[in-house]
Amino acid sequence: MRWLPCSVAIVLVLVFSGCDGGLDPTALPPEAIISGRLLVRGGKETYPPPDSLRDLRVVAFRTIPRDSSVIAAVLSGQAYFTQTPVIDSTHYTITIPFGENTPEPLRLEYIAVAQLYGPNLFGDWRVVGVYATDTLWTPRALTVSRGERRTDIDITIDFRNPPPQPFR
Amino acid sequence: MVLHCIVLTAAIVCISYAQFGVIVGSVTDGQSGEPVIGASIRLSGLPQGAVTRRDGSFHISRVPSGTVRLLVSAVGYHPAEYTLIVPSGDTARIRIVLQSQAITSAAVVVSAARRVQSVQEVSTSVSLVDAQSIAERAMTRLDEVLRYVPGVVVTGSQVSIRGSSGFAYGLGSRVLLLIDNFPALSADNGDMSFDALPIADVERIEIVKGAGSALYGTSALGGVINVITRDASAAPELRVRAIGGLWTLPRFETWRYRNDPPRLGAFDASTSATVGPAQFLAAGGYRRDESYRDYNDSRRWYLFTKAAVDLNASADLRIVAQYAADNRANWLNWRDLRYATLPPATTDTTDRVDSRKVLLGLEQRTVWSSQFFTTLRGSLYNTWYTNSIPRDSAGHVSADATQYNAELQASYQASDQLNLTAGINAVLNAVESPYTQGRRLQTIVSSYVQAEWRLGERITTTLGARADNVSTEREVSGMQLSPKLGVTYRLAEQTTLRASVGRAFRAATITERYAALRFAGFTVGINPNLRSEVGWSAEIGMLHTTSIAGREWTIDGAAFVARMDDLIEPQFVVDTTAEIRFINITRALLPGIELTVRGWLLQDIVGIESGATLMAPRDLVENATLRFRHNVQWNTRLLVQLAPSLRFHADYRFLSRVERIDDRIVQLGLVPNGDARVPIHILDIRLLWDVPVAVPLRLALNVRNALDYYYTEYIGNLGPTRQLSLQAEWTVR
Repeated sequence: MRWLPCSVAIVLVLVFSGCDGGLDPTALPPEAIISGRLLVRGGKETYPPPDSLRDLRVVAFRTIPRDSSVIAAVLSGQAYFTQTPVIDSTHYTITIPFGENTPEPLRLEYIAVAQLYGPNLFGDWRVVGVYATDTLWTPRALTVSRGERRTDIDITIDFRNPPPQPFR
Repeated sequence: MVLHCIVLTAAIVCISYAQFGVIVGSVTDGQSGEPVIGASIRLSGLPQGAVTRRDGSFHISRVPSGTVRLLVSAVGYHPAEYTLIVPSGDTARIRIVLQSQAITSAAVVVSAARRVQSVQEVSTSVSLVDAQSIAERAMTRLDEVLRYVPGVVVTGSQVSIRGSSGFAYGLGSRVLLLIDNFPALSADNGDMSFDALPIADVERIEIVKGAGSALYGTSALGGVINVITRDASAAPELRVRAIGGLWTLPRFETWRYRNDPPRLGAFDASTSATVGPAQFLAAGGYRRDESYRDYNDSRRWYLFTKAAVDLNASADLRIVAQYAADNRANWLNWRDLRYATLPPATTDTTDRVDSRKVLLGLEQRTVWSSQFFTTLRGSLYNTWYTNSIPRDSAGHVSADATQYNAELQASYQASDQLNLTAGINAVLNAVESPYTQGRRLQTIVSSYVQAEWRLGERITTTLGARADNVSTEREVSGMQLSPKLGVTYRLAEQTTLRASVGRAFRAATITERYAALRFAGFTVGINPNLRSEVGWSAEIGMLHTTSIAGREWTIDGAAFVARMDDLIEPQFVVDTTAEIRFINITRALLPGIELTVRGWLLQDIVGIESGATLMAPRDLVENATLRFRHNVQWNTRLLVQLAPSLRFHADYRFLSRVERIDDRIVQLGLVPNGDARVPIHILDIRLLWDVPVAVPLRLALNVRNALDYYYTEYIGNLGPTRQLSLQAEWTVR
């Protein structure tokens, strides 16, 4: 049994030699950030009443969404959204973490402003603004990489004449 | 009916005058011949016991005549067993000699079978933490103690034995906590309060691993933790402990929330005395911690008393009373990894939480004959808390929850081979809280029976079962039947094999069923139809002691597996509204192996205690690794005797990186950088010096997390950083 303390000491040395200082805020995994201005067509007068403006988020989808389950898309890693509602905001920021399964560069097919108009957090969403190439709401894709900062992704919101809904 | 009562009374009177004797003896050190003070002497299978006085003597009355087995243990000594014959109406005398050892392995447990047993007789894995380990490590909270136990992982306020629990902010503990055999999980959340314990006056902590519902009922899915406080000493005694220390400033500038190191301090004192037939122990303590994190400071204090009174020649009464209170900031998670010692910017830092815990327990034991004794227990455990936000305002939280417990246990030694234990138990949980919309009640009525049968000298089998009827708000959830079978086989004098299989359950708590509140932007809804969590666990193990170079080594190995169904977890539910509800969703399989080795080497200069647990926890619903579990845990303790009164200790703790967490919390942005996690390497070192002065004084210089290693124990919470402390401990007899 005299080998035991030596063995333990050797294992401890190996463990500690393989152990860095643990968490390091200066070595955060790189992330991409997209941000921009939010312009409301018609101004504040066009805002819907509070009971049908329960939440408002900017959402960046990897592919054009086919249903209104924005939350499900975020949960499944297929979309990213602003961490707080953007009601009354003139600017927004979305942080996109690059995990092990995130393709790089990451193509975002559809960036939109989504309004939660009903009580169903998972289904009552509609699009009221799109990052577009023209005034006809033609979606404009965006490609980002780790560490990239895009600050010019401006989006126009129109509550009265919203863009074509991508959701079936 | 009258005749029955007369016969029953006559029988009780007759057996209450059964034949008793007295044991008188002394305990001395095998090397020096000096008396051993504070040694514990227990009678196997019987409730009586004693603690040695200043001259090493002890006296046990009300001992049934015949052959009895003494189990003797003392801090710093090898445990011993003695058998002697107690003559009826007379005194048996015995002289006990103990051999010293630096790494103690307590001989006696009371939690595995609800009676005094030697460790070799227990058919499940049991870990023990003794008073010496607690005192040397300058610990002030239960969770600090449990972190060093193989197979036990503490995640915030959640205790997990062999992977039984992940992380749910302490809610719905799958490990039952007892204080001196009285249940101490809160009536509302079913959680533990680590600060509500007189840690400085703990004699030992028993951790029974695996399904424990066959004897203890709800919450013992993963195991049972029984905190045994020390009995009052026969001679007057005063113990004082003072701790002062600081948290070193972190390496990263953004983590320094202040310019000077945050400080901490603790003070405990206890005294005991004997007055006539009664023994008293009274203790109190205060702890102040400025914390390594901003808005995480706390002030805690407690009072504890324990009294034992001999009622007559065959009965005694024990009273345990505990009051603990704290005032703390309401920390939930960090702002983000860049500012890991700061709360989110939106946090109301004026909001604080006041809480209190009250435990009152009475235990009356009567020895009716040499074969039969009963234990009657009654207890009350109240937890109360409120934050500083006014009651009618958003964000207010408060609850007043009380658990009332009544139990009658009978133990019958039918023969030298057969021991029977049976009992009935009634529990009432009463909760009053705004988030449960008023008063809610839950009752659990149970009965249990267990038989231990010795088959010759080598084999002991244990067969038992418990039936629990759970009723919440008058809705009966159905009967839970929890059987258990255990076998121990003494392969050789120094080797014992064990095997056990048992079922356990956890009734859904009142909070899980009826909590309705807003949390982090989401609504938590009620689910009164929750079913109980259930599980089976099985293990095989071996306990082997061997002598190497004249010193004893102990090796304990086990292979285990648990299958759990209907585990309750918070989930998004989509119907007419979107809300979070607690639902029965997860099925899990938790296989693993565990090995513990302890011994002393190099002419008593170097001692080692090492334990490792390897697990492969699976979520059978998602066919993936179970969330919030560590696959590997390794604890190692090294002791070096530098001089007769000077020792160096080092504790190393490793936990593998949590493989899987709840990604939704991160993806929805509830906890920024919530997926930041690493393996855990914690090294604690300390220097202990027994100062040669008139009043026994021990100084301990402690460095916890000496490597200043940064990690998270759970989502968005930086683990404790490096802490320096100096402890002084006096004992005046």
